[in-house]
Amino acid sequence: MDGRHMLRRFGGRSAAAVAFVVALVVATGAGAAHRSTTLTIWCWTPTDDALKSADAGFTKAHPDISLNYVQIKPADVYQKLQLGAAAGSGFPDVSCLEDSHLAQFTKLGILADITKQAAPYKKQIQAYKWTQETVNGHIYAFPWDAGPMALFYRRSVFKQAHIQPTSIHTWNDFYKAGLKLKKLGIPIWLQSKAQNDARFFEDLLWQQGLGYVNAKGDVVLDKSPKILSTLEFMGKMWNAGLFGDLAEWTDPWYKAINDGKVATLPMAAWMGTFLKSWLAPKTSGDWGVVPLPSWTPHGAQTANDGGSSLAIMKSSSNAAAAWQYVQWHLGRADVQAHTYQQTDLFPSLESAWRSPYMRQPDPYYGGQKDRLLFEQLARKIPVAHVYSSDYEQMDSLMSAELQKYALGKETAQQALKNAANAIRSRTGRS
Amino acid sequence: MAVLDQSSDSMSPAVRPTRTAGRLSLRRRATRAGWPLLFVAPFFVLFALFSLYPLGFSLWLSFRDWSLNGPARWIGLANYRALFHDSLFWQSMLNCALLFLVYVPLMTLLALVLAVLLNSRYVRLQGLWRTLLFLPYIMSGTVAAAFTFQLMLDRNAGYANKFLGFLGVSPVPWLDSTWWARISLGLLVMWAWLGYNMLIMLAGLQAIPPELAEAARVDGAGPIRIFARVTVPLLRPVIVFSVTLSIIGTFSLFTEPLLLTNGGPANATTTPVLQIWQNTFSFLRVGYSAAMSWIYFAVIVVLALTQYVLVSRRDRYLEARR
Repeated sequence: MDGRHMLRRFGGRSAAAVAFVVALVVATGAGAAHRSTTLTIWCWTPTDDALKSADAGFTKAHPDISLNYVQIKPADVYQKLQLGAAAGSGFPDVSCLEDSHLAQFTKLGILADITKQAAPYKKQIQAYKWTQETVNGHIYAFPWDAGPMALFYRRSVFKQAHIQPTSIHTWNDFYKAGLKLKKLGIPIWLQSKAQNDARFFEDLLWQQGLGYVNAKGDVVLDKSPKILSTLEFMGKMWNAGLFGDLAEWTDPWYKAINDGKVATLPMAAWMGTFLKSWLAPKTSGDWGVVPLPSWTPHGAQTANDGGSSLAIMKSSSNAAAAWQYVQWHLGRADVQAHTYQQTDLFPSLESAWRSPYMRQPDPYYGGQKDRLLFEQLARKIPVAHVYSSDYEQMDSLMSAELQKYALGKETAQQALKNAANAIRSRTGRS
Repeated sequence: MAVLDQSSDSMSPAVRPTRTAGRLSLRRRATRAGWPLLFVAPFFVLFALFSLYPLGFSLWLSFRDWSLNGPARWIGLANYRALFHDSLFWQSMLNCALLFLVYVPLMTLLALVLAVLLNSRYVRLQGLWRTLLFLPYIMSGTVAAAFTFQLMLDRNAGYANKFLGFLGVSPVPWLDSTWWARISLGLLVMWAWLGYNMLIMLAGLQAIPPELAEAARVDGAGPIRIFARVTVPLLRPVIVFSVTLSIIGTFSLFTEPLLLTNGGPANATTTPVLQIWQNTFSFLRVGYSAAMSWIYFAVIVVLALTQYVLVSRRDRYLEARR
């Protein structure tokens, strides 16, 4: 066959050639199957550090399973999982998920049902965690860390302002302490007006057993006088100039925390791992922890912020190995106590709380036995309905209204009404 | 096109006679026409795969409720009906309109003036200036540009406020107030697109015969008068083109607001594309986003046509020359 002839034939069959190319393009999209028991695990810092700290024991017990960690930040994990859901491929075997986003993925139907395997652990783990992992009686993720909240305070700043940290019992005391700190030019806490992400607002609701919705899933934002007064409390703090106007998790925010330009951090136990590892390691010893101020004199002294879980993907061809992995890392008291020691991710596995480590003083918090405090607080986390399958949307709509309120563009009542109506029309909830 | 394809069975009756033609001549025809077809095929295949198919799919989706996984449920016009009450979507349209007013008139004027300057005999190193002005366009799509702006415009630690402080001006809440955020976004977009628009104007200027300005000068017109009475009217089609692109560009902004302001504060800089993206990938309301895309498309077409009708008058000079 001479060249010209071949080319001519080829020209005549351009359609076939094109079809072949198309087939190739389509074929490459199809997923490659797992060939060995290598587990791919998606997680972010510090959860990857925590999990890896338990790997030596796991690999010894299961030499046939090798682990492949992929470090992806939470927002990207969710994006990739959603795209994977649309494409029907591209999932890891195991993924870390924040409790706030978990319901979205159980609804999406990409997580493996682990009801049977997890059953023996039901009584050993905090009840509130299970409600987040369960849909219609089926469990789709294994609980990991809880986010019991407390008030982290800067010892030197409090001393300078002559404030006793133990004197702050209620949010009104918090406000008064803020007034004293204002004289030193130090904000008691940082809440951005224009870039507020509504997270602190959600924490305050959680503390009162409130959320965007009630137990039935109906929107209650604009129906509770307590929610209104919570938002107005934030307004009062802004108006009195007690909140520093800095967005969370930005460079100026890190700098303020490092430089002692903020007196307290009303945040969850996991904040410790950020402070100690990279955010403010040099301020070690200058922090203390007290319970969160309450709304009424005997009200709840904590709330939950965040927390995470490990989920096995329905698509995983290594489900048995994946369960071994999850069970080892999250289901063993010794492992969970160890990871808590490594990374301040507070275990929801209650048997881990019996570890002698819980009673050790923590030099970062000036020798305080903060873990015992977190244990006490974790037992009292109120049941609230902040997280749901529509959480991301609710948070986004509320943030915008909160920003308008903070910038003085609408009243607290209007903000809640607008947010509630937007959530209703967008999510079809009543 | 089917005529040219030997193996095709879907020939229309009108062209069927070709088949009866001699085998050789048909081969020759096939070769002659088949080769160009093969060469343009990649475009059409890619276009069909990545444009035509998604277009049809999104139209199909816009009548359905789908969350990326599972069946897409037919819900008729419910998505479109809900959209008319979606204040956030219309706010995003309004944001674009405001943003358009913030930067497009200024950018167009600047692009025009710069193009005229760079086209004149008086400016040296024209190549260098053109390159410098065009450079941001190449870099603007990058994430780095938006982050750089974010760092510069940070209210507390940004260079913009440090510089203003040096001049004795009080700090500006660049990204922390609704209007300033729009202005900041406008600045970023203008910085990125000025060079591109300048280049379009420059091309238009170079197509204008120099004898016209010459004649005006002989008649005693000064440079400003020539600019206003000769250059600008002749450049009208080019300006219309540039503004049309700016309309489309402004309404399809995505990367810049996502990175610079994330649509905030208080949704002041959110754009339709940002809304479509967020509804699809964060909220998993894919059918709704598809409906949004079609409404958004319709609005842009209407805007571009309106602008075209309003601004482009028939050019008397060019008409006369024909």
